[in-house]
Amino acid sequence: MPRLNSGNELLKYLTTVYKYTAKSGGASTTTAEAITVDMADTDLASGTGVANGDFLCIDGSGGVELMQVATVATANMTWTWPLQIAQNSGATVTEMDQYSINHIAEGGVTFGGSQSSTPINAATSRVAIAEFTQSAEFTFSIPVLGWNNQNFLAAFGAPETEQGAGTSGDPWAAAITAANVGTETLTCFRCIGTLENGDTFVFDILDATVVVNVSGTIGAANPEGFTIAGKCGGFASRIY
Amino acid sequence: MTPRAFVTALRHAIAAIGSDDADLRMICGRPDALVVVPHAIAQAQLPVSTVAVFGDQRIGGIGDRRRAVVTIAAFADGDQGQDVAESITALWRTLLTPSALEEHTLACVQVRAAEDVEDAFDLREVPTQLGRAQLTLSIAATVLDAVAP
Repeated sequence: MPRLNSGNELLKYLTTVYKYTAKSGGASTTTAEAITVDMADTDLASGTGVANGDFLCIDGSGGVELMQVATVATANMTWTWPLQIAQNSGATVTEMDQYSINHIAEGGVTFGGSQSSTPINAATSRVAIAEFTQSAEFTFSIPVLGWNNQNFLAAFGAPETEQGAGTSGDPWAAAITAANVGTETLTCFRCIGTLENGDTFVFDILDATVVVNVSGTIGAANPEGFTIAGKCGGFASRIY
Repeated sequence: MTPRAFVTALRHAIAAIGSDDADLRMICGRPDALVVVPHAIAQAQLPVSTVAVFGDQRIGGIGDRRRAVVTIAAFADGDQGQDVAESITALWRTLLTPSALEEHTLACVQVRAAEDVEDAFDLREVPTQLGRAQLTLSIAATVLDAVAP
């Protein structure tokens, strides 16, 4: 979408936020070919356990990309939209569970990046002859309002493994300890919304790692929920 | 389809919650006309509640989420009028929960103590001998439905 340079391209609403984590016992394979940008389908080493509509994470030389399968043809996956991240053959492919985390505080989902640089100076120049850029760092923050154990676990980077049945004798239960804090594995988030011109945007937070930075309140006049925040390996943006 | 105004949707939802409540009916001693619009207070059967919604501020979160200040005033006559009016607003505080509002096509509701308290009602419209109590809340929500133009 070319720049519109008008109010039509302003972000209007965030409508949905999803979290994706590796599905226990789900499909796990590798790509059988290199991926190029804009590729519409990909051969995998195996299509076992993959069904139409499944979400798969491709994790390889180019980073992590979250995709949804439109059509499975044995080991060939046609995607709902083209791939954006080039990968060498042999990238890990993991089936993902999708969770709605759709109760977001009014601060909204925030994301960002930072990078520093070191000037390369020379005696023959009054200005730096080059800049040596350091590795960039990508961050994200998702303020979720619901007081539930899933959000509690997610904010501390723990797998969302709640126990119990919700009764007084067997309550919904979760715990954060040294054993599980920061142990959540492959995670992505997807924000879906609309622009002022009616277009849909899809913004992915890829290969997310929760860095615990929780400051909760209990008993305050206007309590908030939890904040899921951390660093990530990349972002992907789509508009249609 | 025309989106419903947030203020209107919220006011209707609150009125419906109060009108359906058995405890409010018992306090008012009648099954209907429990909640009236502000300009009808002077002619209303007593005790009565009225709802005023101020502001329609777009805030962040999911969808077209808005925040407004809601003022509910209760009026009652008689020697116990002040006690009755205060019991009504105390009841309203328990009725206006996020889950109750979400049964009326509102989503992602937050009900908070208001930081700005509006004195919504022109006393010239209200007979001064009545007991009166007021409750002010800040409510954020997204309207889910639309109405035909």
